[in-house]
Amino acid sequence: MWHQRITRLLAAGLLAAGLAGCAQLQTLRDNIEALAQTTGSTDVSPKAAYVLRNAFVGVERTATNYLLLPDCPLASGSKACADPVAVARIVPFVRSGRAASLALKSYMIQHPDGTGGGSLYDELSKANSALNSILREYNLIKA
Amino acid sequence: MDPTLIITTLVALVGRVLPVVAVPANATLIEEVIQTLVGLVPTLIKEYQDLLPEVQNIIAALRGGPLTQAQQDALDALQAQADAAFEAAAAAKGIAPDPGAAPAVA
Repeated sequence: MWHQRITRLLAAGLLAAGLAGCAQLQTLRDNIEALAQTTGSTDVSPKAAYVLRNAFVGVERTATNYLLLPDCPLASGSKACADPVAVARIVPFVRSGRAASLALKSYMIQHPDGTGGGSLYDELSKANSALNSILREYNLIKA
Repeated sequence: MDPTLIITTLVALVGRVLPVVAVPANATLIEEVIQTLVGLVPTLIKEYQDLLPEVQNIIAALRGGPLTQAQQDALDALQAQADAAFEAAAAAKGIAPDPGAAPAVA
């Protein structure tokens, strides 16, 4: 049941994005390959930076929704609440990730080929991974 | 095409792409992107409308040619919106404002 719901929603998202034909899938594959073929670990492709920045916004939105929950413990029987310990862990990573994302954006404007931008990419990647890990720990992301 | 087939085909393609990436550091890079996408998928159940723009952006970037200024501008707008929403939620929890944030422009 849970997997069916995911499949339906992901399918809707992919279809909404126009990913409905084999030709598009082939193009998607080609672009994933191109994205992977960056020049080296110290560089970052514009698309990789763009994709990771988008992913960070998605994680930030998830973190925001967590913060909007009432504080734990709840007096009522509701299950959804925000653990103050988790909130205290989430906030610094969101803010450091935001700073890294903006720094990466600025760098890519100055260096459109991404040469030397690998460290900024790594910084955002670390914040992104840390947030994903915390959100998984608190069952907001079940991956 | 059946939606389930789209998903399984996409996963299969990603699985085929990963092993052929020549440089290990780049394999890590692409895996990071994919893992982040996969991690976001369950969240779409509750936050479908919220997260759809980012997922669409990523898919469009992976599908399309060079990034356009319109794509960059759209991402900037999404980030500004997400940043403001997060800081508002943090303030509601009694958390001090981000000391590293740029001052608001009047």
